[in-house]
Amino acid sequence: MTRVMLVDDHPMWLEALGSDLEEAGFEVVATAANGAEVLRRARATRPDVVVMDLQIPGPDGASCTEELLRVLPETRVLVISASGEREDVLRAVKAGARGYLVKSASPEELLDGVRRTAEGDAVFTPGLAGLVLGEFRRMVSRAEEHDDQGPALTAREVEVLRLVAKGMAYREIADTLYVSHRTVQNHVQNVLRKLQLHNRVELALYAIERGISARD
Amino acid sequence: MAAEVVEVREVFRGYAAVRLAAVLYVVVVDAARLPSAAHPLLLGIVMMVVVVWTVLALWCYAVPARRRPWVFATDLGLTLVLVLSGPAVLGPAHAGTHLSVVALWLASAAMALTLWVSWVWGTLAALLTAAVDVVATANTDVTTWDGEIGFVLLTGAVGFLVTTLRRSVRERDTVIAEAAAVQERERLARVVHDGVLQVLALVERQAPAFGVRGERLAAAAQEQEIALRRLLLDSDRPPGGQIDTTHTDLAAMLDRHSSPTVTISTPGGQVVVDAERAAEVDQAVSEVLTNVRRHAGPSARAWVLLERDGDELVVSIRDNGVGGERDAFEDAAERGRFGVRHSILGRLRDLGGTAILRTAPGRGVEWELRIPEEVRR
Repeated sequence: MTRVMLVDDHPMWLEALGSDLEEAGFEVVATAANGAEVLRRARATRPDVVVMDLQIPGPDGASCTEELLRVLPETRVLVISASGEREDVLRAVKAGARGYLVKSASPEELLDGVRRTAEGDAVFTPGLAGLVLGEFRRMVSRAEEHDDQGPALTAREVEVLRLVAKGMAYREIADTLYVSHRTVQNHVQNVLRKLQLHNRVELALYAIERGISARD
Repeated sequence: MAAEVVEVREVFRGYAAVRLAAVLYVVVVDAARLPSAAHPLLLGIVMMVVVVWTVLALWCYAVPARRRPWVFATDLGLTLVLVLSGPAVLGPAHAGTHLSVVALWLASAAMALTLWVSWVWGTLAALLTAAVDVVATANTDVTTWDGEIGFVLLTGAVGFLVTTLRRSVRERDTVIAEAAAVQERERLARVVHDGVLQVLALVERQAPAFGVRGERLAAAAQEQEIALRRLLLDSDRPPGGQIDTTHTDLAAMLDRHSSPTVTISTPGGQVVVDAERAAEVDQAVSEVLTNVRRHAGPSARAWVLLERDGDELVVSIRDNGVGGERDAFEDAAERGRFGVRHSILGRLRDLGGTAILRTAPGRGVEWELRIPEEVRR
């Protein structure tokens, strides 16, 4: 049975989502209402999936995601947030969150999102696809400025991402591009992996630079 | 007169201390000169006038409302009269002295003007006082005017410094007020987030279980949620993405089209575009979305994707509505229907961009607008 932990600062929401998940056959092993509780309870219960609201009392959801995945890298984090917190969503996804849904998604979409996250799929909304596309464009142009090889997406990956951003379901994308549903999923997952890998490389480079300058 | 001047209490306190010290000096100096004065009684009266008027004047200067023009006028007038009467009161025994009968106290009236009216008036009053002093003591030796010149310069300088001080106090107050407003807004946003938005989100989730009416309730809750979020966001950002008079954040501008049936996807961060171009792009998007509402069918949804591709802006607008034959659209464009020719194609042409339309029956409509970021002519 998939073990789920819910993070949200509103008890009514926790209760509603919790009972929906249990009815659907998930085991809710823990809930947390603020950033301080997240890490403690996740360590104690080792959930498979963490459903993380980004707007929680400090430390915020994006920071929690970073810290959680540093300590428990096997955990799969599904980020839930309101629209309009673009920077935070991007930060959480770069830190390793596997997917993102808006808070106003229907119960079916949420259940499906948790199920797919548990299976290791990347759960993308059009909004997240737009953010990730923009992020890669930004990284590529910055790499060009420094004359080095940036993290680039393949033409196919860009194509898939753009279709996701334009609201197409994976099934529709598969039909449009004459590929299998699985192939579309792989492309999306690869994109996420590249983004997260690049983020780790950047963090490491940053640490090395800091380390070297500290010794000077 | 002093209505718009920021009241800084320390200015009055400093002034009062200096003026009282000057009075003390007058009393000490004139008491010493009393035995040799031509008219000791008049000198005594001068000392009394200085003491009494100082107390009265300080009472007036203490509060902004009592700083009337007549107070300044009387202060200055009295000072000049006393200075002029000096030689007669002191008599020939003190003819050689350059220290007026009221000593340094003569500076107080001009100083009051410089502090609470303006440094220009203060300096003029100081010039007048210094001139009268020079005339009264018949001091024709320019080399001994240092006291008067110093006093005039000091009055102007103090006035100038106080003006600067007031301006920085006012700026500091503005900054503090703005910070307080931001804090209050953040607090409100938290309160609204904790309560209202959560309940709305819950209604959206649970209500559809109650059938058709529940679905309507959920849709209404979602609309309100989006509107409220936008309101909270907008109070943090300039309206409509405006950055300054010539630049706009196109991402924030397009965000305003977001609704339960329209999803807006943009890169993170700002997409800064020339304000006029941004407005034109926004208008074209508006027009496309209007077409979706009118022609795509009641359950159609739309997605808007904004990308920055090199020095080109790419805006894709797709709907999942009924779509149509491409020919029909071209026909409509020819006949000027759907606002296609003027509002969309015309705008894009003016911007030096291109518009691509893809559609098929049952497969929705997709526009891809490409706009160069800079004006090309």
